Amino acid sequence: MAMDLQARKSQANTAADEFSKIYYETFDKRRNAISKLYQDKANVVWNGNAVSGSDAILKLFDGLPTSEHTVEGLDTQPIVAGPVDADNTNSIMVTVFGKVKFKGTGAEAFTQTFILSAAENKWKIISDTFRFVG
Amino acid sequence: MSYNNRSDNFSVTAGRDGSRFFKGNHDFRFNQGSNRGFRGRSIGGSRGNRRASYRNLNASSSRYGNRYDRNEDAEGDISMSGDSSRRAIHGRGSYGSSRGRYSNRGRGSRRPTTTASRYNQKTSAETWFKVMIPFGSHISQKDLYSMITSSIDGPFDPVQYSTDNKRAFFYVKGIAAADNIRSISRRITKPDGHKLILHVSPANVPPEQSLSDTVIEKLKLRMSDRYDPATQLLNLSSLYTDEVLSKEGIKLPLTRFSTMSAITKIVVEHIPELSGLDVSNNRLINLGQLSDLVKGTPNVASLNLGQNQLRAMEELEKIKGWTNLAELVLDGNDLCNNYGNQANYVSAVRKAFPKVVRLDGIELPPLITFDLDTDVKLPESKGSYFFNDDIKNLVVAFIKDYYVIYDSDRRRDLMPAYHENVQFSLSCSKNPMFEKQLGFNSYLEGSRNLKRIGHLDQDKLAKKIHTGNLHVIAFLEKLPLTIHDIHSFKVDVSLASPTLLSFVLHGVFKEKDARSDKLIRAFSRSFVTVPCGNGMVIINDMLTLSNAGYELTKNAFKSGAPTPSSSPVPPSSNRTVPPDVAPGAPTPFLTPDQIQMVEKFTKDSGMNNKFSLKCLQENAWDYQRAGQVFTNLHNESKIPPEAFVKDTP
Repeated sequence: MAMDLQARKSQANTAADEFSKIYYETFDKRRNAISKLYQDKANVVWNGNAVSGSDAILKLFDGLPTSEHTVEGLDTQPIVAGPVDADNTNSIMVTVFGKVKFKGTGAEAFTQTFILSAAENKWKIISDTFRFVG
Repeated sequence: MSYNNRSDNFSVTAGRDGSRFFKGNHDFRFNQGSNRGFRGRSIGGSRGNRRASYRNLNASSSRYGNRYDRNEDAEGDISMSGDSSRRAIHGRGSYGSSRGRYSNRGRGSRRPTTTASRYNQKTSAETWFKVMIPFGSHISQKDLYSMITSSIDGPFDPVQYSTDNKRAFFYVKGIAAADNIRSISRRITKPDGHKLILHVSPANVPPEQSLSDTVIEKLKLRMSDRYDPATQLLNLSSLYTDEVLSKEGIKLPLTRFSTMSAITKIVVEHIPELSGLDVSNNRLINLGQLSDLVKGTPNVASLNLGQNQLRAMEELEKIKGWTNLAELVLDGNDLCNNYGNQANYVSAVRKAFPKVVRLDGIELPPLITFDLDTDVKLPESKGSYFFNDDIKNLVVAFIKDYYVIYDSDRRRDLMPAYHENVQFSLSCSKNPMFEKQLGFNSYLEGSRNLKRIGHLDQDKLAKKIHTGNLHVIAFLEKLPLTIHDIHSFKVDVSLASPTLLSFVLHGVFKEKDARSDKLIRAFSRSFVTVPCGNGMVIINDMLTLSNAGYELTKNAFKSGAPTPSSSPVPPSSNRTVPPDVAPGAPTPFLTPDQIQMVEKFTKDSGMNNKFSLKCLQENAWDYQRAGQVFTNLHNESKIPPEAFVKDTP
């Protein structure tokens, strides 16, 4: 199913918009379901702390206090570099800029970059890097 | 992170003329009519094939010198975006009307329109002003200062921060500073949605000077007498009547800011392990001044606040950072009378200190609680993350080389770093932590933020992804010239496979034309790269921009960032000037027409667009002539095969 670049850009826009809503809603309100959005072997680098695999990711997130994210900036591009791994040929990069308040600390600005890949018509996160902007 | 490690395998090669190439391009000239242009020599090397040795040459820092030299030469001519960024300046005058409006409330007759009218110039710079922020105690000091710093127009040097039940206070010196603060009152929206109000009034008493060194030394000695290392208990009871100090004529009430801050400093420095503190009988009215001590001494388990003048249990909120507190004395404070019975009193205390088992010397029945992790804390932030050292060397070298060129006035030299089909987009957002801040006028036109444009306007969105190396470079050259603080850089490698490497770079920069050195931008840049030759090229490039917060701004460019003049390199005598740079006259990169021409030529000739561009440039953008030269050379098989190698996919 070869799509031209224009179509893949549109597809990325729709996916990124929806993803940003679903992701932060899940993270803030039903965090135990968050690992479903990640691929089994996904990598997360959270403020420099690296974990890999959906179990380890859930464990990392489970250890974080209650959160409240607000998205201010969102952008996306399709990745046309060929397959990012053997199973997936359709992937996009999504960047998010926003504000997060973890319980017990003040609000902070953050930036986050996801790489999503489609398998069996489902977008899954294969890579996620997060940092406070400070 | 360390930038000392370099990997020769992936380094950028630099020609003698200072140009750089991210992969093994051959310098190949489409000179008209002469065969002299087709020597097929290595870049910069005029005497045979010496490519291997260039890589070693590269590692020397001197090549950065060339680059900086060039910056310096051209600086006076840079005008790419100057006017548009200046438009971002907020006229201070527009806030003039609010000056004085919110000051001196309740002082009736004293309501000057400007403070300056009451002070002559000589004293005005020396006058202290007290700033009061209603409900300011609900915001942390850091957040408060952040909000003010990012909104204020001019320096902000607050001293002696303090809080009471609801309000926060600090002092600033000089009328200019006071007026600046006043001008932003009610201009900033706090996280709770209310406006930040700043009452500015002349200070009746100047902020306390910090204690002299001799007094501090004496206090230190006295504290050492009053400290018991065995029990780790510091007894500061009735400090203001301390006999030894009184004999020396020194009075140090704990209620005074200067005393408390000196004590805090001594304790945190010498006895951070402190486990017990007795501050009974010191006429304490509020505990805000203890908050720094709380941060520095996390082990305090026993606290005597007896015989003071504390009126409300809420005061304990300010010191509840002492989470291990097991023993507390409050007896002898007014607040004890607020409770009709002992049970209410105990439960009020336990709201702040759930672990207290002994209150006013009486054992308490143990508190039965629920087993839920209540003290979850954020994991500590760490530095850069690279999968392994090989990737680290590769990425660090790439970024370093990339930003030397990016910060120059010749971003076009980044061409070899980009894949033919690269996508670039820029997304600007205001920093959500501040209300008022300088905007992104010079960037906004190109900004692609799905939260602002909305994903339904697909055409508009598509246009804002710049696609193809020529379009990307043309766009990058239009962005304001920058200086990045390489010491601020943090890199997270997000994916690494044999076919793809992606990483996110975080850091700060400033604009060369910025009106203020204090305007620091924060960025993060997400790259996807694919292998190419013995290096890599960028195929996705996403830049997110925002204004830096208080901490980032404060620390930006602190660790000796290289300045253009700090690496003088004698101009090399055999340095050749590339044909498209006339010294001193910045030439625009490519016009849209020229980009179109290159694209057409690429199609017609079958060469890749880098060679097509070269051919057109060297034939003065005469399409016919370039085509003729190409055809002639092609017929004579004099065009190197790499001219026809295109980036895949």
